[in-house]
Amino acid sequence: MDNLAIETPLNAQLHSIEGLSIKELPICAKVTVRGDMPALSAAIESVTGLPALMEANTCTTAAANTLYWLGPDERLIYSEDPTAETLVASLREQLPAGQSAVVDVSDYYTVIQISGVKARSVIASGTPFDVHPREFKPGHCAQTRFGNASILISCREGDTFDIQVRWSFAEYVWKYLCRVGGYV
Amino acid sequence: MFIIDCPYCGKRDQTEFSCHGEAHIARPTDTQNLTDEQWGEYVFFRSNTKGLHRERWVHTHGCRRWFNALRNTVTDEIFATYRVGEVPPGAAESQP
Repeated sequence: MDNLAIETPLNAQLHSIEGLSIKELPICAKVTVRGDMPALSAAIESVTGLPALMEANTCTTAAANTLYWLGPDERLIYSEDPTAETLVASLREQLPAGQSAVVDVSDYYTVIQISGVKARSVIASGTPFDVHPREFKPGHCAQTRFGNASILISCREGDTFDIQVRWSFAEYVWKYLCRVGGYV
Repeated sequence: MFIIDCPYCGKRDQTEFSCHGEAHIARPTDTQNLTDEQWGEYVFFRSNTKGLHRERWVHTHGCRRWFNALRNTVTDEIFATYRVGEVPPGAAESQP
């Protein structure tokens, strides 16, 4: 099974026009952690190097890991590793059994990165969430809606955004973004 | 279009939410001895309030958490949202 290439739903496509670049990022490890958050924060930090953020709709990055706030008792961790096995094992070892849930969701989602001066307008075309730079800044993330798809959007820097979408909705969101990109 | 204040995420568009009917309906504890009529009352019958109504909402496209809202069913105005387990606003002067 070692030579079985991991395919992503959009085949790492790239769509580039003036002021806008849309690409699918390579697959990365994605793990959700649920439990009583202030209590689990130290254990999560010992594994990932990141504290379990307590402020809603925020994300933070250190080294190869990124942590997202998904809900009062739920966090999502990205790691640049191609598989989540190591991360899941070390989290399960550190977190108290029976009081937490660690789930590998790597293959459940894919991430589309959109950047450029037109990026905010393109995103605003499909979501009711306010992506104006006054409201949505680096370090912010939000679970919201894009067209009919549920997405997790995060602001990496200035005009670069990551859109995490479910595998089966990836093509829909991709086509939506590319089509709108031609009009804004 | 209106804005709903999720107790966890903050103000979001209504299209991110779903409403799931009347809140604060306690499941009967003495289920062994309930008559069909009492079960029917619990499962199907709602107060169908005209005016202030407490109801369950879920932030479907957001944090996916359940919460309660106090909404006027005539004007569609939402007066308050509160977490499950919290005392409803204005609980003292109206229904139990």
